[in-house]
Amino acid sequence: MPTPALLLLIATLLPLLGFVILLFVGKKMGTPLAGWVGTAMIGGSFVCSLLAMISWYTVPDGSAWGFEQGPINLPYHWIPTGDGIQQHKPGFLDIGIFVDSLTIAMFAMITLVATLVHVFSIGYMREDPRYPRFFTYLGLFCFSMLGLVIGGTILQLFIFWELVGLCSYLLIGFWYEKKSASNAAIKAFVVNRVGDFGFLIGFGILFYHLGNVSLPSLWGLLGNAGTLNEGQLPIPGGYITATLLTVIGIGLFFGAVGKSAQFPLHVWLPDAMEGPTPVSALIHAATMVAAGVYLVGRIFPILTPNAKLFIAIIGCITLTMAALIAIAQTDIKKVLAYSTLSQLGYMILAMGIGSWVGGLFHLITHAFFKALLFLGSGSVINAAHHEQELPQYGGLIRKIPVTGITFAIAVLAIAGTPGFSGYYSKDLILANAGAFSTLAEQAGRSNWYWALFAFPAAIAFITPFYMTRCWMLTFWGKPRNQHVYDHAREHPVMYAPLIVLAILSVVGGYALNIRELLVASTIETKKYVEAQHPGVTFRGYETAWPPYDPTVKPKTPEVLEGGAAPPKVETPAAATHHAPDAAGWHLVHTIVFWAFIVGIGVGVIVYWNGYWLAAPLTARGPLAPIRIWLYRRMYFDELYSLVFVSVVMGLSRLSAAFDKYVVDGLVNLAGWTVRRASTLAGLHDKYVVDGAVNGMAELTQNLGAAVRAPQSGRIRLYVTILMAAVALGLAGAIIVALS
Amino acid sequence: MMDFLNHWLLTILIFLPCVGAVLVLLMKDRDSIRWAALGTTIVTFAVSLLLFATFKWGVNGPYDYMQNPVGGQPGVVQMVQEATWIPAFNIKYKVGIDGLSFPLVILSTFICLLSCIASWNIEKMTKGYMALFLFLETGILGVFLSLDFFLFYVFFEVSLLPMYFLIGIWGGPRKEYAAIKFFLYTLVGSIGLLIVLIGTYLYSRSVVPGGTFDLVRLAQPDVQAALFAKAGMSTALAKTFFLLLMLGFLIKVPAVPFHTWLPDAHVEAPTPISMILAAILLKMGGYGIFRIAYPLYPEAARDMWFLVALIGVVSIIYGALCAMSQTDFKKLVAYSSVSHMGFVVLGAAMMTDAAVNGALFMMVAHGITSAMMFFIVGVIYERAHHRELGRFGGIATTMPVYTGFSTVACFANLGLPGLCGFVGEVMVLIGAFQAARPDSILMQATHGRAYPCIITFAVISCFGVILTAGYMLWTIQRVYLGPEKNEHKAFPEVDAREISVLTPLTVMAILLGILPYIFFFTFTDSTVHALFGLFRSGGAAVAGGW
Repeated sequence: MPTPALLLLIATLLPLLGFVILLFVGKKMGTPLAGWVGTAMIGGSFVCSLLAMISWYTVPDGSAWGFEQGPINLPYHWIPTGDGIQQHKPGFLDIGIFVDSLTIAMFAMITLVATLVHVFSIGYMREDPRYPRFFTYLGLFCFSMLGLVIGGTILQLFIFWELVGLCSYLLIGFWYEKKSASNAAIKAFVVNRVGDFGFLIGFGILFYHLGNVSLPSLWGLLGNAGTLNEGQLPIPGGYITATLLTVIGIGLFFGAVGKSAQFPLHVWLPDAMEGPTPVSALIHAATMVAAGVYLVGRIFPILTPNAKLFIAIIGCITLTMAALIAIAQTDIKKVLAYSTLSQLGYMILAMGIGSWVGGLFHLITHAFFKALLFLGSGSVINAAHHEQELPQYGGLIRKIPVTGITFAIAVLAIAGTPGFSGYYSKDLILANAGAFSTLAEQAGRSNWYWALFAFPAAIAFITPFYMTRCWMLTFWGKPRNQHVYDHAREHPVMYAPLIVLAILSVVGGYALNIRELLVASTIETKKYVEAQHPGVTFRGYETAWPPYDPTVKPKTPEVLEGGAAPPKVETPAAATHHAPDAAGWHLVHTIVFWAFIVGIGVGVIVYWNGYWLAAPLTARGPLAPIRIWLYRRMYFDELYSLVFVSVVMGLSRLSAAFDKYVVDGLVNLAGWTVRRASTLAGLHDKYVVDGAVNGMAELTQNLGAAVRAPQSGRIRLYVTILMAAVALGLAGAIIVALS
Repeated sequence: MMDFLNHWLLTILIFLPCVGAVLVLLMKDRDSIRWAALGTTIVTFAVSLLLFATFKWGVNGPYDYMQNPVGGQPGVVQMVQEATWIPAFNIKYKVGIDGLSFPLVILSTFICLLSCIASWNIEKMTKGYMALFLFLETGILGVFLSLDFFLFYVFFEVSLLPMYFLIGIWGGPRKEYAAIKFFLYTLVGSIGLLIVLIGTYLYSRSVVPGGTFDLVRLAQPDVQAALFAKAGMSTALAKTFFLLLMLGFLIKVPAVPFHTWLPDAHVEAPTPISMILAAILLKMGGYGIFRIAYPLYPEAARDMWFLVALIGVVSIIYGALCAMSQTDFKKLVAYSSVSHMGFVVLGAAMMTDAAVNGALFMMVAHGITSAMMFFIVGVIYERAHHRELGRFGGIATTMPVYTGFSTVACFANLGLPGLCGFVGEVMVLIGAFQAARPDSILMQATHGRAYPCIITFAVISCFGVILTAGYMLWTIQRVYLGPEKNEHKAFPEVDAREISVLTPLTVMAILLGILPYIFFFTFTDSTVHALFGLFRSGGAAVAGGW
């Protein structure tokens, strides 16, 4: 096994070891030893990931694997599904290890954030009676998350996908005594299952066409789906149509919709904030919710342009909706949750418009600054004795300065301030969105394509605003709850991780080679696929922008003059790369560049001293109902509860009643009928059959009575008669003898 | 030694518990009765493990569905022992094993051992209970191992009787109703079985001299062809026979709408009997489908796929919906059994290798999880003396170890990857999608017209996974989560005996979930392929269908 693969495997298994140890002896270890054991394990994983990264970078040119050389692919046959009867070859559900630069980058990010969250939790959870169990669950989560990232097949992605879902369930419901926590846990799991429902369908269709779901073979067979909007792709033993590929793509994407909490399945994430705050930082901000984006990144080459358009639209809706809701939330964690939703929307949008590098780049930078924001909020909540409402805060910067400053750095990063990490990744996405829309216009498509740039660009102004609002209400102005203010304190175990994350949030954009790693990943994949499938030109990461619409004449002058038919096959991005790309960057530089100043500035003014401006503004007038609508999260929960929950529960009650009264009723009716019939038969038996029998008997009896008379049954009589007979006989004999 | 085992092992296995039952009857002291019963189940389990040494498996192994005499023709059916029983009708005592029966035999001896431990606290007429219990095990093993139709039928009925008494005497308040319902229901199914048994024999007389009840022989392609060509069996009659067989087995499975005996039987049965009922007795139905109904009438099965698949899908969804609104913990688990066994029926109907392999796996996986779930219900019932879901809550604080086991069981039940429930579910679902391939048996038999139906069924059954997650998690919430309740404070944590039942089940649930290939498919794969050889070669594809 190549060194990096081995190291990453060890990195994956170490948290599992920690989980097993803590499961059996965690309670004996107690506080804080159990926490340190868990931390040591994930820390070991981080070291292994770093070593793997070094070994990855230092391979010589021409190796089979390594940075810009190629990926490591080690499949393992897990379940046979059809070898032998010519249904599928190779008919195996594989799992396996797949390592490329993306894997390396994800491992480094996950293990680092996880280690910091572990350290933070040692402080944050120190008073919890179930402290060891918390680290047990965290260990299981880290194992599952790393197993997801190292997976080489869609099946393995799905398996670990469910396992991270389980950990999320367990950790959201960690304080299970609270009804709201266990409700939120169930909601998270079931809503994710709805996404998995789509995933399973996509997976099933994909499997029945290919008989194989390992990522490299998918890329090899369907890797050029991005250039295909109609027609079909050849696969072994047949073909697969573009429409079906779109269905597969959207089906698989539905899994990501669930896990990455995209519209319409976003409702579980805000509720998931019921879990302990370090969990929100690790699972519901940095890693697990990003797994959906990671999945889309992995299946990106097999997505058709129509599937990508669908993905982009979902991302666009999510990022807009969530950012608006975030403005009106009063719970600090809810604000961050909606901000996470919005940022995930950006990543999904990036995938949809073909900005593969942009989406994954944002995933990693976002992991740093969002983990920082959540841990910071944890520090605030801890300082404020588990008070989470923004109206109860104010002026905390004087009490918890490290938290305040690191939080501010994260706000600057998410706002897209130049020099901070968010700036690089978000602007890359926006530039690509601009290029996408420019291309759409050039190709003569609907002007609606501009929405895919306009909404994210507009939200780029909103994001700094609501984040500044959150910071100002927490740290600035006069304390609004003197009790909370007086007792606020911060804890070194808790702010050390904040400082590390703050540094990463600043330099993550340019100093850590993240973008280079992602670009290298596309090169490695291309090399590998082309080596595995000779004669194939792999263009999986060069997306077709945007879908071809045959009913619209292109506006380009050549077509108007020459009347040439528009190209049937979509032009890959690379071919027309430079002009739209430049246009996109131009748009970003002119429109979005100052968004951070505008957003932060407005935020600072409006919330300079608590709600001094915001409260009167939203008290009445047109803003009041909007604020309530946003505060109630656009009433999605009420809607779903009405439409889905009550329908399913109603159906279930109906089924149970049907079962009890109709199905079982029929059975009991059958039983009753038979019993009644048997009673009838009994009566018939008694009066008719038995009557006949009795009649016979009576006849016999009468006959018998006649015959019976002499047979009185009296022994004395019998004996007397016998004696008389004997006497008579003897007498006769004597008479005969004498005569 | 090997030769002796090859000939006698199965017979010994079948009658060992019976000998144990006689031993138990001879004893007086309650404790020695228990230990004798436990010893018998342990020995039986140990003997069944010897099968690992004698059973030949492997993906590259024999592929034909026929008997594998030592040193003779290759075939998947092994370790056959036969003796003439009733020569006038060519009825034989014939036992043998292949990939279909192998996992179920191991499962049976395993679960019987565990439920014997679970029976430790039966105080009422222990002797009778244990004797019937061991007698039941003989019946179960006989069903899974007999290869003669008549013998199968005898064991099928024999297993019914002890169950009737075990529910009817040691059951809950409505035990008589439940026992009679169980008995009569299954008996109705048996009548169908009996008709086909006699009918098939009569037709087989013009194919095989003197007729035969040999299940392997009857499934051979030449016999199959001769049944139609020479013996003059009509397609309509074959369909009728298939339906009658399926009626018998679907009642046993149980599939909607023949399922209402199950919740009643479970609610009334004592815990260990519920474990056996759910884990093994239901599998006799599934086993019958794969051993008798499909191999004997493959064409009818192909024609009737829609009906069977519909029953399967309805069972999955309807069972899950009914489970969701139950308030009795045990009834909920019973309905969840209906839902899960629906996957077995669907897997059979789809007639693809992944689906059939998945259905077989589902049977074993469900055997593990349902036994575990029923035991868990029993544990809490013993402490609380009720099973009302609404009255529980906060058990996680009171009994953390017990909650840990329960969580594993619930998640295995809802199909979490890494635990056994997932593999069966996902393979049946994938197999259902596989059936939409143009080269699948169903697609070829219907000339592609089945496509929309297959896809619809596959998609609807995928929906089942959401419902299952819903009701299982809701159950966890209502029983284990929430603030600790005062009336539960006195509940003792699970004791050593209970842990000794739960641990092996947990280990198996995890092992089967992580390494399904090593622990399962190595044994079944070649047999499933052999069966598919039959399904495919069974005459020309019949046009039309449903």
